[in-house]
Order: sequence, then C-alpha cells, then structure tokens
Amino acid sequence: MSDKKIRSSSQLKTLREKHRDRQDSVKQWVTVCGGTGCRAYGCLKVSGALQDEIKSRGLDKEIQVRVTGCHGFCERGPLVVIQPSGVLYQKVKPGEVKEIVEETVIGSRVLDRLLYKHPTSGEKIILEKEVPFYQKQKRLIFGMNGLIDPTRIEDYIANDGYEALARILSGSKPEDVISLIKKANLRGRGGAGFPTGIKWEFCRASAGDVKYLICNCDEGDPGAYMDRSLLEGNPHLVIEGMLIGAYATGASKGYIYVRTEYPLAVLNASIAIEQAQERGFLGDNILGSDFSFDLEISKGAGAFVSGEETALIAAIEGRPPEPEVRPPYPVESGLYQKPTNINNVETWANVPWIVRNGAEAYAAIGTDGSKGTKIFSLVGKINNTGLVEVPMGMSLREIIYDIGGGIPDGREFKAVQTGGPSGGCIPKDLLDLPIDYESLLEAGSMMGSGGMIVMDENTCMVDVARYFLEFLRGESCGKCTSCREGIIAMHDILIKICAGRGEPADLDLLGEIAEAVKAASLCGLGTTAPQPVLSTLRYFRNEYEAHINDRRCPGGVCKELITYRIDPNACTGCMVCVRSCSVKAISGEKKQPHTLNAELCIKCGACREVCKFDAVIVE
Amino acid sequence: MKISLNGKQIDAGAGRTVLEAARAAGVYIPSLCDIPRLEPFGGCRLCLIEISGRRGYVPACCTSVEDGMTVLSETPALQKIRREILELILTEHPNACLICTEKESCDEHKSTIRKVGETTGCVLCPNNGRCELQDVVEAVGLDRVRFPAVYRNIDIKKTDPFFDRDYNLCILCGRCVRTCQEERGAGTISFIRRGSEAVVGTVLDVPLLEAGCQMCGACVDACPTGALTERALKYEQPAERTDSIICPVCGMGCRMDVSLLGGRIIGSRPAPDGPANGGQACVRGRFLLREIPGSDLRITMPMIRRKKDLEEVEWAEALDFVAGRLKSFKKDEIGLVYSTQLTTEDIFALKKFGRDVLKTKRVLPSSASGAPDMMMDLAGTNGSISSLICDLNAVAEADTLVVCGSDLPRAHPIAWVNVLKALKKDAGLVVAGTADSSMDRHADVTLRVKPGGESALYGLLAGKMITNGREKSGALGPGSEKVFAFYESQKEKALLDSSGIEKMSSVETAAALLLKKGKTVILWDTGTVPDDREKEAAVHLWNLALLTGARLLPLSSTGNSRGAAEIRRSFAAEPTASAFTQDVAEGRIKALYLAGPFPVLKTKKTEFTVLQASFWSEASAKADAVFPAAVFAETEGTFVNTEGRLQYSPRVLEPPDGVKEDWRIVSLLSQIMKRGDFTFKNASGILKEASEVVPAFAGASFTGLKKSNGRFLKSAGESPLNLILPFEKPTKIPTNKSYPLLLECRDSAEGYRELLFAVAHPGFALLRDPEAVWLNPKDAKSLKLGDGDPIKVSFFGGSFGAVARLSDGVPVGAARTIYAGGLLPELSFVPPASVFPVKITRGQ
Ligand SMILES: Cc1cc2nc3c(=O)[nH]c(=O)nc-3n(C[C@H](O)[C@H](O)[C@H](O)COP(=O)(O)O)c2cc1C
Ligand code: SF4
Ligand code: SF4
Ligand code: SF4
Ligand code: SF4
Ligand code: FES
Repeated sequence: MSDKKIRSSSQLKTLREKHRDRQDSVKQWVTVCGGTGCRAYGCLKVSGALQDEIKSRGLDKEIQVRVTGCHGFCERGPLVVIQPSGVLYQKVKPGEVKEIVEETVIGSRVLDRLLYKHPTSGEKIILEKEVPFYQKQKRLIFGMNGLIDPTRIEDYIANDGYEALARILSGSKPEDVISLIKKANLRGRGGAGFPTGIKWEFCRASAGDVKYLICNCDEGDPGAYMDRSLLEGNPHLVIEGMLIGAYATGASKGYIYVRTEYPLAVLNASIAIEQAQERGFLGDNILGSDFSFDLEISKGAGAFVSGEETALIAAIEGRPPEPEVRPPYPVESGLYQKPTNINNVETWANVPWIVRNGAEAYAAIGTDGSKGTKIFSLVGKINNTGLVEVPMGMSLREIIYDIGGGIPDGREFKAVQTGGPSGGCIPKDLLDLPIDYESLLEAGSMMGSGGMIVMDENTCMVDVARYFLEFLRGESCGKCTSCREGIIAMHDILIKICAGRGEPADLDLLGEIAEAVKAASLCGLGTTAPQPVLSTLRYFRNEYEAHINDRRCPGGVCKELITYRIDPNACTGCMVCVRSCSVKAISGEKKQPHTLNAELCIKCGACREVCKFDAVIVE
Repeated sequence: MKISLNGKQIDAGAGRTVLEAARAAGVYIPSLCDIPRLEPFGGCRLCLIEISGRRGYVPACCTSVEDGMTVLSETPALQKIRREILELILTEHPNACLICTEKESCDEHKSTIRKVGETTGCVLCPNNGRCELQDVVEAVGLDRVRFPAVYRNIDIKKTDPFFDRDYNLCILCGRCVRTCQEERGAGTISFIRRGSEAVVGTVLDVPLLEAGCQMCGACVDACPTGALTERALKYEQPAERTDSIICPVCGMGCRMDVSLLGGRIIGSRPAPDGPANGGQACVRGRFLLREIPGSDLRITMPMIRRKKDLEEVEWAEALDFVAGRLKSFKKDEIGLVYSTQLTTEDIFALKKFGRDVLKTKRVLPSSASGAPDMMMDLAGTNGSISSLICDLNAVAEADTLVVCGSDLPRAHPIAWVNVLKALKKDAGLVVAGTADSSMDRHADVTLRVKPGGESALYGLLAGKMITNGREKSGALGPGSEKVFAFYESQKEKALLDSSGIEKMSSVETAAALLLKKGKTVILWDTGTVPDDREKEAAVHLWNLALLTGARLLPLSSTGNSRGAAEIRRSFAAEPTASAFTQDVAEGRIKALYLAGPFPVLKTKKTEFTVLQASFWSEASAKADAVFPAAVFAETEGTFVNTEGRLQYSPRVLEPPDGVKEDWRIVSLLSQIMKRGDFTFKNASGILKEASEVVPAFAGASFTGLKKSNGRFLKSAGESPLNLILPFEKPTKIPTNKSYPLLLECRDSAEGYRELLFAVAHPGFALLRDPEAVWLNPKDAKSLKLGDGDPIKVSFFGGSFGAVARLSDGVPVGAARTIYAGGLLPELSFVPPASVFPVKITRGQ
C-alpha cells in the first residue's frame, strides 16, 4: 500500500507520463457510457459483450473497452464511441456488439443504422463531435467524463489529474489560491451564485483550529442530475477541487454529502477516496508537503430541503434536516459549530481547471457577472434531452433550438422553467435572454441547480404552478410558518382555479401570499417557493384570467375546464384513438370520421397523444 | 450595549437577542415559537423586524443585539406581513372564536361548555383565557382570515396518562419538541413528516410512555396553545387564585405554582422563577400534587382502639387515650418514626417530642437521608456543609460530570435538567450505575457495575488518579501518605472484577475525563438503606473529589431529607434502620409512634402503636390510635433541598375539619403528658427555636425567607479537607447459595407520606410500578418466569410478593425494585440493606 504513495510533484509527473505512454500504446479504445442514465438502458450488458467479443478475438492488448461516466446524451443510451476516430453509436443493443467490433473497430466501416439522426434534417451523423447536441457545448468540466473510467485513478492522472493540486502545493500560498479564484470570479453552482473565492476567504478568516469542507451532492431537484453525473463520472475531479479548497481555507477534514438514492455516485466516490488515500492525495503530508486533509462520505436520505446548507449540516451531525436561521453562516459556525465551507459538486469541479488554465482564461468565458460554463439538464418537450454544458451568457434560444433540437412534433414553444422546483417560468418573448445569474433573476427565475424544463403550447401555466407547489408542499420541512402554511394556501388556491372554481379576488390573494412567503420565510426553499406562482402571474396572467373569468383552460390541460372532440375534417378514421381510449368514448367506422362521446370521456388525453393528424381537439 | 428600537434608545445588555432586549424594555414584538431558555428557533416568523443595513426582514428571536444597531419593529410593511403570517397560522387552527366580534359578550355568557370532546374554537378550548395565540391575535389586531382553511383531522391522542394531545390545535412552534429534547434530554417527541404533513409526534406514533416519556409535563407548560392540555384540568372551572409552594416529594425543592379552586388544589405548574427548579419539575410535582390533599384515602378523624375495633372519637378523647398509654412505657421503650417529607418545623417538633416527651433515643427517619448525611459525617464538622459540596448551579457550569448511583431523570429530575445545561456546553458525562437509564445515550462512558460493586469502582477510579499522574501533594492532609499508599497497593484487576465492569478501558476513559482540566462535579446517591459498603463508597468519592479538585453533590431522597439530616446533628445519634427493626422484631421497642411510613412487621411483640398519618394504609388497620395529620399545602413551614437551600412554603389550603398539623399534635400530647417544653404557637416559633439549636439554621425566620426567596444553610465554619483512609478490607456483599440473586432496592420518592402515587393515580402505576421486580431475561428464563408473572421474593429474614418484569438493563444475577419506604402493603418488608441476596420463585 504505502509504496504506492506519491510524495512529490516530480513523482506525480513520472507517473503521469507512465500512464500516458500506456494509454498511447493502446491502438483503439471503445468507450461505453456507464452513467446511471445509460445503465437504465442496459449499457453494462453492452460493455460486457464488447469485452467478451474483443477478448475472444485475442485483441484485448490493442483494443481497450472503457466504461466511462455520463456523456450527457442519456436519452440516446446506451452510447458507444469508438476512439480515436470518434464514431458515435446510439441505442446500442448487446446483440449488435459483434457487428460493431467486426465492422467498425476492426474493419473501419460505419454501421449506418446505429448512427444518430438529425431530428429535423434527418441526416445521419457519424462523429460524436459533429452531433449538434455536442457542437455548441463547451465541455470544460464535463468533457473528461466521456474519456475516463471513473474507477481508475490512472485514467484521471493521465488526463492532467492532480496537476492543479501539485502546482499549488509547490509554492502557492493559500491567499494566492483565494485571490486566483476571486479573480476568476467563480460563483457557486448550487443555486445562489455566491462568489466562491469570497466564501473561502471568509472561511479562512474565521477563527478556529478545526475547519471543515463539505461537498453538496444532495441534488434534491427532481429534474437535475449534473451533480450525480460529475461525482459518479469523474470523482477525482471533485476531490481535487476540494483539496485545493482545503488548502486555501485551512480545512483539515471534508465530507461529501450524497443522497443514498445515488448508489453509483456513492460507490465511485468511495473508490476514488480510497485510491486517493492510497496514492497519498488524501491523508497526512500530501505530496510531501505540510498540508493534510482527509475526506469522508456522508449519506443522506434525500429530502429536497436537506440540500440547504444548514439542513445539510444538521443531517451530517445526525439531526433532522431542518434549516436554521443564518447568521451565523456556516463559514463562521457550521458543522459541529466549526467554520465550514460548503460548495456544490459542480463548483468544486471548476476549481482544478481554473488553477491549471489561470483566472484570465476562465474569466474570458461567460458574461460580466457570470464566468465560466454551467451544466444544465435539459428536459421536457424538447427533442434532445440530456446534460449540456454551455458558456454562461448563451441565449435560451441557442440552448433550446441549437443544442436541444427544438420542440418535438413541430409544436410551439411556450415557456421554459429554470432553477428547479422553486424556479420561475420564462416566456417566449424572452427566448433571447442570455443565461446568467443576473438575467435569470431579473426575469423572475433563477439559475438554481440548472434544471431546464421546456414546455410547449399544450401546457397550462396555472397547472404548472400548481404542480410545482404540490411538490414544494410536500418538501417544505414544515419548520417555519410562512413557508409551510403559505405553500399550502397558495396550492389550495391554485387547485381551486384549476378546478374552475376560481374567483377574481383569488389572484390578488395569491400574489399577496406569494410576496409574504417570499419575504418572511426562513430558508431559501421558502423564499423561492412562490417563484412558480409569481413568474406565471407575471407572464401568463391571461391564462389565470381565462380560468377564472371564462372558465377556460387555454393550454387544454385542466380537466374540469376542457372538453375533447374530434375534428371530422382532420380525422382519417385510422381507429388508433378508438383503441387508446380506456372508457370506450370514441366510436366510428374505419376510414370514416370518428365521434367522441363527451359524457363518457374522462379527459385523460390518451387519444390526443396517439392521433397523428391532430384531429383530437381540446376546448 | 445600546440599540435604537423604533427610534428610542434602549439599553440592550450584552449577549441578548433583539427580542429579549425588546421584552426587557417593555416593547412588544409578537412571538410564538421563542422560549428564552431554549436555543433560538425562528419558526413562527412573527417576530420579524427590520435592521438598518441588513437586507429584508430578520427574526428578532434569532438576532443578537449589536451596539448601535437600529431596529424597527412597527413599520407598515412589517405590520402587514405580520398580519399575513398570523392569518397563515390561523388557516390551520380553529379561528372562528379568535376573530369573532362577539368575543367579549360570549365570554360572559358561556358556562362549562368546554367539557366537549373536541375543540373547535376558543370557547370550547381548555386553553381559553391563557392562550398565547389569543394574545397575539389581540395584539396584532387581526379580525379576518382570508386564506383557505385546512383541517388536519387528526385523532386526539388520549392513551397516555395525565395529558391529551390534540394536534388539530398545534401551530408547530416546536416548543414542546425543543423543551423535551433540550431541557429534559428525553427526546420523546419530534417533528414527524415534512411539509403540509408535518406534525409533532413520537417515532412510529407510539404512545408517549412507550417512547420513553418521563411525563414531566414540561412540554405541556411550553405549549402556547391548547394542543397539549392537562386532562384533569379540562373539566375544571378556571382557578380562583394561584399560590407558590415547595414540592415536598423529592429533595429537589421545586417551587410550584398551585391553582386553587373551592378549597382544592386543581393543578400545579413549576414556578418559572423557582430558585432551584427554574420552571421545571417532574411528573410527581406536576401531576400528582393535586391528588394528595383531596385523596379518598385521607384520614379526617382521630380514632382509637379501645376494644377490638378502631372507632372515631373527638380529639380530646384520642389525645387522653394516647397520652395515658404512652406514659406507661419506660425510657427507650418507644420507637418513633418521622417522615422526611414533613416541614423542618414538624421534624424538629417530632425529634424534640421523642427526646423530651417519649424519652427515647430510638428515633428513625422513614426514609434514609443517605448521601448528604454520609458526606456530612465525613466532613466531620457539626452539620456544616463543606466547600467540597456544591449546588445545582455548579452542576450546570461543570465541564465534567460523574453521575454515581442515580437514575437522575427519574429520581432527581432537576439535577438532570442542570446536567443537560452543562452537556449543552459540551461537558463530558460519566454514568456509573447498576442499570441502564435514559442518561446512557448522553454519556461519554457508561460504567455498568453489578449491585454492590460501586465502592470497588470508586476505589479503582481514585487509585487511577494517583497512578495516572496526580501529584502526591502533602496539602491533602496529614495522613495523605497513607492514603496514597493504600491506593497504590490496590489490586486493580481484583477491583475491576468485584465492580462487575467488563473492560478496564472504560474505567480508563472515565479516569481520563476526570483528569481533564476544568470543573468537575460528582453527583451521588446511595441505596435505600445505607450500610458500611456505601460508607466506603462515600470515602472513595470524597478522596476522588479531593484528588481531582472536583466538587460533590450528594443527592437526598425525599423532600426534606436534608433538613432532617441537619436537625439530627443537634440530637442524640439515631439507630440504624436495621437496628431499629430488629429492636421492634425482638420486643425491645414495645410501642411505636409512627409519624411516617414504616413497614408493618409481622410481630406480636409491639404492645401499642400510634399512627400520626394523613392517609389510610395497612398500618392504620393495625394501629391502636390514629391522629389525622395535615399535608404539605395545609401547613406552613420550610424545606431544605438537596443543595441545602432553605425555602418557605405557605399554607394555601385549610386542612379538612378534624385534621391538625404534625407539630400541633405532638405539642398537644406534650401538654397533656406534662413533659417537655412545647409552648409554640405556630410553626414560625418552632423555626425560631430550631435556629437557636441547629447551627445550620442560625438566623433563619419565615419573614426573612419570604423576603429573600429562600437561602442556603449556614456553614458552621470550614474544617480542613483531608483525604480519608478507606477501610482496610473492602466490605463484601453477603452471598448465600440459597439466595442466588442480588436484589437492589432504590427509593426515588414514589409517594407522599403513606400515599403511594401508584395508588393515588392509575397513570403513575403505568409509569413506575412499585410492585415490579426487574430481572434480566436470562435469569427469568432459567426461573421459568415471564413478564408480569407473580413472584415471591424470599430473603434471610422474610419474604414479599411482587410482579416479575424483564429488562436487559438489569445485569444477569441481579434484580431491582423500587422500595417506596415500605409504603405498599404487599411490599411490607424491611430490607436489611440496599443490596442483599434473595431467591425468586413463582408466587401465588
Ligand atoms: C431548499 C434548498 C435546496 C438546496 N439544494 C441544494 C442542492 O441539492 N445542492 C447544492 O449544491 N446546493 C443546494 N442548495 C444551496 C445550498 O444551500 C448552498 O447554497 C450551496 O450548496 C453552496 O454551494 P455553492 O456556493 O457552491 O453554490 C439548496 C438550497 C436550498 C434553499
Ligand atoms: S388554542 Fe388558543 S386560540 Fe386555539 S382554540 Fe384554544 S384558546 Fe383558542
Ligand atoms: S412529558 Fe416531558 S418527557 Fe414527556 S414528552 Fe413532554 S417534555 Fe418530553
Ligand atoms: S404541541 Fe404545542 S408546543 Fe408543540 S408544536 Fe404544537 S403548538 Fe407548539
Ligand atoms: S418531586 Fe421533586 S423534582 Fe418533582 S416536582 Fe417535586 S421537588 Fe420537583
Ligand atoms: S419568535 Fe421569532 S420566529 Fe417565532
């Protein structure tokens, strides 16, 4: 064990070169995305089959199979990339492995049917880097995910891993590191966007012999999974970031708080910690310096609110995860009442890049107030869903149309909800909004964790607000009155409006409660919980009014307010809808326009989903 | 520190929150979740304020004052948001009455309609009139609730004794949860579920008793609403008045605010300003005091047995009868027993009565005063309390605490409350005892000894102090070399064995804590019948304290044990309990004068028994004469608590017709018998005499005590603190092949005088069953006994019936019982010691 320890940066360099050489000796390698998303599609079967196939051909010296972290394009998994050529195959099944090896790996022929098809032009794309989903991205942080096996520290080291750490340990003072991060203007990726360098500086300045670091991988936002993907796909990057942070703040012990629902992240992070300890990146006298730091994993049962920093501290201490009033801030008195610096996974992952490439290079990316890149999770009514890393300041339009490939089935874009469950909805008029902390706040939403839910014309914005409030109703910890009761009150009013029982006075009441909850609540959950209500009231007040005054749901979603009928002119009599209706409300002869019995209809929308001719009309 | 509050400069004091500073300055800021004693919470959001230079609104209860701070609490924006928050609170609370315009006239007309099962508005709520929610609504001036109402529809929880929980009224302020956790260390209740489902409750919603509730009632007192209400009070009219008395039950000396109605005590709550208890009490003081004066078992007429049966007679006749008989006994032929739950004045009068009227030196306290008495003996000064002994405040301030031989939360709850205060400030805790307890999970080390193994442990610890580097200084007295030598020659392994502790490492950990710098306090309690073994334990603890610079708090077992111990020092030495019972059993004591509970002995040798008692018991049936005596609230007097705090307790109730105070009864007898000087006119006169005779009471008077809110006993000068040489040979617990189990008897004041709380209230029997004998399941298995089986416990010299209870917390080979001063007929036995060998067989 101890012989594996690296005791100086020159030793690290030698080791890196050794692993690079070894990497270079491999002629080809086939990467299979092994992230949680692709695992759900059975990628491990594919990688297993690949390994068997290559071995049975006696090629395992020249061709390597590498199970990597998430590539972000989860919707198309399992993903296989043949390197160095960069050919991308999507939705690969184990049965197709033999052919891939034979044709593409050995024979350099491309299998057309496994290629990705451009959603609008229908053109087949061969190389991963040419896929529009990846083309406009800037994968500073996320890029390595697709190249390395997260369970092999060697892969990380070969890709400049721990180089940043070595650099600061040979000569930089903690203050230098802090001013570097301040100059780069890195801001917290966990939601609020607090300047990281300033946080570190506060922590460093706090009196106390024991200080802690925490990596926040609670990721309670149901739509987001970039933290998981980073931690499971490249855990050493996060560890290296924390090591640099520990050196800068003077912390001696760190915790990675991961929700138990992320078993792969827990596993890969544990393996990485063990390897880092073995190699001497964690422990006493790191790389032969005076600097010592160790890490531990703390698992939490995920409630949304446990991601809030004071609740998270309570959870690590074994108390119920309830937020506490700040000040004192964790940097003054946090875990076990000691100064504690908490940062988000993605924040930590940015740190090594900044150290390696310098503050100027980093600050050159992004907008005035928001630097670097941000990873978003793009979901909802959009062609390409997945994780995208883009420079700050990219417009919503670029993300949604260029990277996301637009709205499916030619429907119209209506709004995008950003910032997680307590974020806000941004309407079509603001599609050219540059995405950064300030612009989002101004637009009545927020960066939050980076969730991005795209909604099309068939969405009811009142229903959207109701939906998010319902989530928050269950997730508020219940400690403070305004959040607990205020969310209930807003939710109840929204239910009433959606059910067609709204009254004109409800809108003012809703607005009043929302403002009170925002102003009076104890933690970020409460102060942001009204956002879905406030932003929809701001941009879609007409939809509320339609519900209340005309008893009409413009999105065609609120069951009490809609009826379904079939447009006889559009209906081709294909019978698909007849089969889809569970209550047999649709009848009709083949090739004759069908009819829908509104008495029987339960407004489930199944017919509308299946109709290829848009003949099912909702009013 | 000065701050500006709404434009006025106020002196805020340091270390306060803005809310506290405002309260002190008489500025009202509404609040519902804040309790000064608890950590700031910031949940209700009513106390939001604006501070110049800070963004948004901040809660005053969580914000510390800073010099020069500018605070606004009444801006229009704040008033608006406060009304909205209050409206939100009321969406989940019955609010019709709160905002009803007919409120006032309604109050005038309503009668006893609160006797309904469910509270749907203030008029039906037990909390009506003293509800903080009502106060806040009034202050904020809310007259409407516009937001949709939510009814939680939760069943009212009524399965636990003493109080109901109606969470439909709960505003989730968390005061109960935090009180239970922070102040009582019980952690019985918590917030369960999140969001709109959030509610207070126990894990898995089990009844409180199953969740480890002490039934202290602290949560009830903390609750601002009617969610937690005392069941007995639900059906009472509001009290006519309240008054403060001292709880006579255990030795903590809690000041209780009793509510009085129609000549009855209808309830008692710990006085927030109680000098010893500061707003806390325990189940006995909180829920059982009301059961005492009006008990069905009260004796209200004197009785005498002329022929076969006891018959009720007038006082004069009874007194003549008794005086006549008592006169016929010679010196020392009468045994006198006095209760240590009586006032100092009663006890003094009884002691004097024994000496001057009954002319006997056979005088016995009904309950051993144990620990304080033994420490006083060691201190050797005449009733003084040495500087080694500390008060409860020192417990709260300690850095390390060692609890020896007591289940504090149960037996000495206020001591426990103070231990928790120290733990909050990161104090270390060592718990040494024979059984598990709720303290264990707060402890850094738990030293589980076998019954009787305590002195071996304390000796071992004292020895460790010397071997682990405590400097052998001559300043610890002339004989200290010998003591050092004694400890150095101890055989550690043998001591560990006889202590019954499994690993030396846990003793080492405890020793390391004791050697740590800082203030250490050792709290110690003895068993029921102190013996040589416990004296030896006292010596080791004394030495341990001297060697570590620690202080001691010996714990007294009943309300006035400590007062009795002081008085005793000015009278002839008392016999030991076992000598006294032997004298009774063997006929050297021919007559008994029982002014306190004493077991009924199955001896025919006692010729005449007088009972001066408040309640019927098995003893009353056997007595030849019975004098009905007043109870605590019916007599004025003083109590000395475990710390040596002398407190005055007024007479707040008229005794029932025919009942007289203890001191008055013996004074009357003395006058008839024409012996002794009993010319007191009132209790105050007795204290005056006592203050001249008993050095510790020097200068004490009712007037002085009333004015000063109690005071500590006078110390009669300090003698030098010396190490004491322990017994050469450790005292062994007698073992006997025919009696294979070791029974340990612990007394934690489970009644008042002759009245057992388990009898007075069925709820108490659920909490603490005096008939139970606890056994390890392994022993029970080999005895083929199950939980709840009737058993017979035999020992050398007698036997008694009981009920088997199983617990892993009792070591194998041991058994435990509460010996409630011989109160229960079935348990009428006299323990030969606190720990003695027994045999257990299936009973009946
Ligand atoms: C309700 C709530 C949930 C949160 N959840 C997370 C989370 O899952 N992950 C996270 O990194 N930060 C979360 N935060 C933000 C944290 O409190 C904290 O600001 C953040 O971890 C700091 O890291 P950063 O400065 O790197 O962003 C949450 C905040 C609130 C109010
Ligand atoms: S708790 Fe208070 S406000 Fe609620 S019903 Fe009872 S008295 Fe009224
Ligand atoms: S009665 Fe005491 S122990 Fe029981 S829940 Fe209330 S505070 Fe806790
Ligand atoms: S029961 Fe009472 S004290 Fe407990 S949270 Fe509810 S209102 Fe507050
Ligand atoms: S019994 Fe003791 S602790 Fe309980 S209330 Fe009375 S004096 Fe206080
Ligand atoms: S008293 Fe301050 S928030 Fe409740």
